Amino acid sequence: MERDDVFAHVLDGLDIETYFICRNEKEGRALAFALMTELGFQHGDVIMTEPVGGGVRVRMRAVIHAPNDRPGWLEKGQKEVDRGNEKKR
Amino acid sequence: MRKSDKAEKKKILCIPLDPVHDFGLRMIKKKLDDAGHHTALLPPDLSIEEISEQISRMPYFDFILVSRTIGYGSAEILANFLDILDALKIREKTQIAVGGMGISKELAAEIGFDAGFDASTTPEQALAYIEGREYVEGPSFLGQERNGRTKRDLCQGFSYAVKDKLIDTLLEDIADQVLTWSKNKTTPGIERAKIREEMFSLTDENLAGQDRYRQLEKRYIALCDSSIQRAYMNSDFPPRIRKIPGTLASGLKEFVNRFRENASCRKPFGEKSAALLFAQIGSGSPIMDTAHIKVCEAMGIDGIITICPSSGARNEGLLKGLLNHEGDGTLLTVQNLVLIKQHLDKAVLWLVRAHRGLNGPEAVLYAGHLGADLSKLNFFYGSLGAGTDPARLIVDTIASLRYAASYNIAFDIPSNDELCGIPTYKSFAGLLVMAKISRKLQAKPILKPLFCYSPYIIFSGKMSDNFVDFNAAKIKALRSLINSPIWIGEPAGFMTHTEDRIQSAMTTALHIELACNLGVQAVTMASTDEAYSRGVINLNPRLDTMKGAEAVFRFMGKCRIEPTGAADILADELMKDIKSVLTRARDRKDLAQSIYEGTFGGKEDGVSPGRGGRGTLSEWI
Repeated sequence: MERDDVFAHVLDGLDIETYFICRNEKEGRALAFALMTELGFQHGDVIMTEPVGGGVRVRMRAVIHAPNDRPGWLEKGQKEVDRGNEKKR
Repeated sequence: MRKSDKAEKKKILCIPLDPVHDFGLRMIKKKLDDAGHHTALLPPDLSIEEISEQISRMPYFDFILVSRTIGYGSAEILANFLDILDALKIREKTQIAVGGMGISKELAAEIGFDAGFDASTTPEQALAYIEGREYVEGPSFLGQERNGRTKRDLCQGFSYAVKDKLIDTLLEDIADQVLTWSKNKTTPGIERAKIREEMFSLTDENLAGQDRYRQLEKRYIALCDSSIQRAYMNSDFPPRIRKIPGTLASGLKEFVNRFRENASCRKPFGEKSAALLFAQIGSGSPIMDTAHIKVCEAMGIDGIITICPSSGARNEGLLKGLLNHEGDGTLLTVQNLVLIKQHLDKAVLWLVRAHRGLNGPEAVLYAGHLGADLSKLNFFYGSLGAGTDPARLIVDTIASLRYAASYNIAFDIPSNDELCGIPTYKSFAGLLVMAKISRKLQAKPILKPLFCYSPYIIFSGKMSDNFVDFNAAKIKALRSLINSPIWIGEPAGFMTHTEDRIQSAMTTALHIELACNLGVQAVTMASTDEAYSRGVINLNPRLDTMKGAEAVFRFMGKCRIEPTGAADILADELMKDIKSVLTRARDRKDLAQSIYEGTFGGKEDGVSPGRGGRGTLSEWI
């Protein structure tokens, strides 16, 4: 399945959460933006950063379908995805 | 065709392939036994060899259900187990399924089981599998939405009697004063609403009607700000506003139909809790709003508040057309509202706001004409917290109340002025004045106090220990003063949320539970994006708080949150202070001047009366 076909199923955005080992919140935030770029998301934001212990807990959001866009899920004939209960033997 | 005949009672062997855990299988066994099937359950902690040896001596089974809780090493153990069943030629006649905490459907399929069930599988689903039928969770959206459930009238059974005699007299006097003062006054907002009313009454079936419509629109445009005029005349829209292509709207219809075919819905919150739960939705796009609404309905939401942008309150005139807005809310146009309404579940209440700016009468007219159940009005908040001139907004609001009464739609009175720094007692004095004026015009108000951590509360230390007592005091005070429906706004727990979704869902859920405990009629719930203001609210953050509410309702059941004795003391203080505000306002004999002078919130509270629409009142001679 192509990347665009998958993203057509996303209603609005994609949130990613993780914990960065880093020195401070500023660095955690920079790492979050860098990760988003690395993953290929041009439009997004860092929703939350919280220093905890020796690192920062973060939540990032990639905008897949902004309200002004033409969302992929409006299109007919989206490919159905089902990996469950497929007997392979 | 499945290997077994679903008409017969089945023979099932349950095998916990796990050192300890067999609870899930025991639950399933009970369900199957209750349904009349014949089951056997092996004990846990048997080796594969021991299990094989036992099976080889057992009679034929239609199904073998294997459970596995521990995830590590599952694939190898399960594959080994299947190989043994193959060798015993059991798989030729018997279906083998696997489930449990350590199993995913993908893993089961990969290893070669006939079926796989993950941690979310219920005994009902297992029974459906055994009986060869499709499992349907809850009532379907298909056919009659929410199975013919009717909307609840939030105002039913309330007399609006003011229980304190002195306060009742003060409110009567203030309401009479302001209704007399406003009697011969009009505004561009009221005049536009009158024009729109006539436009609604026309049909475009004949040329005369079309001509009249064009004439009326011309008059309407003349009463609008230049930015709105440009949009009508040249399709030159204000920044960040775009037309939505008609093909998208028709695509939405197909999307909603597809969604309904696949969706199952949960029991509405109003059937699980004392209060109805409302979500605020205004992504800027009526199409995205509709998608969010459909999922929220499936989750059991009882009502939707359509959030419009703040700019709509600052400009004279409302735009027309199916429009997207990249900003803080979905534009209030007839076409946008029609699209939202078209796909709204018939049992879900719908509120269109009209409370804070220069287009109130027309917005209430839209609400009434387009089939909304509720609107939102409060000139105290709109003038002290949202930038509109008090005199202008009072006159507009009185006209709006008349529309609300004529369409028989209820409206809430939001006390969000509290968030600007206004003390609770001043804000509540405003709520009561609004309620009294409304009743004199036969409108149906719903008081909307906030459960919030407002600047006044922070500075006064009223919530230094907990968020329960002062919120409980608010409800106690209002209940002691007036027999009115109460709706906790907006949203519940305002300013207690952070950008952390877990904290945010938790604080929303607890505030909702407190509200339900206090016997209010409705609550507006936040999403976990409540404290995030740099972008639109996504769907999952809405689901977060609904899941939180579900969990807290399940946890609390019939138990109650018990406020301390401080709540009674705080409620008494509130009532005393409300009385003093109302006395000052009554003695001033001019409500608009009272607002300008700060009786309901002033410079000492950090607020100033708004200026939007100042100087636009005109008087009938």
